[in-house]
Amino acid sequence: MNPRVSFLCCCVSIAAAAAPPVESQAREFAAQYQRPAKGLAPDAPERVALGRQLFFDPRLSASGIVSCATCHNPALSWGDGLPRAVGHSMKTLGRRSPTVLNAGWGGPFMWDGRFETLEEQAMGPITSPAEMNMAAGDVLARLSAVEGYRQAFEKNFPGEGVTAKGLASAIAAFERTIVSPPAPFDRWVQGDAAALSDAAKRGFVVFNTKAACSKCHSGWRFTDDSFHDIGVKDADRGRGALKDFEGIEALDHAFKTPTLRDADRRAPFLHDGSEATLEAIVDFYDVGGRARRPSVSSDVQKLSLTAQEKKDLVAFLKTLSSPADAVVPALPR
Amino acid sequence: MKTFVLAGLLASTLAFADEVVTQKDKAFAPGDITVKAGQRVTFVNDDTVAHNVFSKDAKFNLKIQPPGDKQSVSFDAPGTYEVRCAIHPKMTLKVKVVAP
Repeated sequence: MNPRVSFLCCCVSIAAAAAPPVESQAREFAAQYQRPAKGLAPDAPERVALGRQLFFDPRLSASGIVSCATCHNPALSWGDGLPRAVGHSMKTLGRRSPTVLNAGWGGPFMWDGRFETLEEQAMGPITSPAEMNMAAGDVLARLSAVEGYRQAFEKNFPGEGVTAKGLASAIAAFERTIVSPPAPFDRWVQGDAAALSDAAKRGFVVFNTKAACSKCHSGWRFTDDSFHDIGVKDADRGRGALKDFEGIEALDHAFKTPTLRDADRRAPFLHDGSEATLEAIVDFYDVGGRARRPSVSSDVQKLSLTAQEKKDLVAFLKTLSSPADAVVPALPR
Repeated sequence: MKTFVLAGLLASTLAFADEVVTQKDKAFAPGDITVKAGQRVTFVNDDTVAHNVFSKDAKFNLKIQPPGDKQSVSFDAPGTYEVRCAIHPKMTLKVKVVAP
């Protein structure tokens, strides 16, 4: 062999050993993000259909103009795109509307996790004076006045009438069907190397290594449903304000780790909507959050990412979005 | 007297060696234990993230445990207690305490 060619081959081989191709680097982390082979145990289709109608029905609110879908709008990845939710009488609430995507696998629910089950959660906003402002008895009376609902409740809950338990059960059944369709990232996990750009693959490696986002945003939903004070500069004590967790410093100013599915369609970010873009939220974590107090999680540390690493992280996050596939139902009158 | 106390402590330690519960992959292992009243349970954080073991029933809070940390607590009264991680609510451990 020509000595010069041999020398070149040697250099190429050393370079390859020093820096494996980004595809193989990224592939090391893929398995833990595999979507579940089986979905959740399906609820009866009739119950899901009733829950879908209830979810989209503004008659569940005192004003008659606010439905669950007002804040959890399928056209906005089951959120509302606002920094903070707007409730009864158009009053701005204290926290951003979380998405309902993949909620069937999650819990506890709400930013502070005060509801253990989807059924409990479903009744929470309906009866909250700040949100839909309906007393439980009033909402049941209103639904009972609609023949189509009387029939649907009878079919689903024979002999029970229109009850709060049935209402919560039907809405939860529908919410369990709200699942992210496969995104480019999922196609890549399945083996389609071309589904992600090299930038996104580099970003995925950063996500799992230097930035350590995967410590909390883990698994196919990109959340482990944990609670942390990540250093948002506001007075909201989050989970720490719940009576059950009095005296637990780690839960002061702690909020639920949100899913990252459809992240680039759900800005602004954080429980108070204070970070406007994906770039801004990456910057937020890069400096280790903005608040300095004892409750800030030790898992939130200054990262010192390079400009390229930040761009790559954003490129990766954008691959977690999938097209909306919601069907809006006709409501009984 | 001193010897007697030490011997007693030794006997009690031998009789009730600490039960060890690990925290790995955001789960307690084992997830269900039975101990004798007065026996200590040592919680070891074998994970890559911090945990905060507490129990409302048993009225203790071990506070933040960074990876590698070990903390012990004794369960003195018979009964069944739920132990959780405050940070990761899916982490639950059932501790059954029986009379020695």
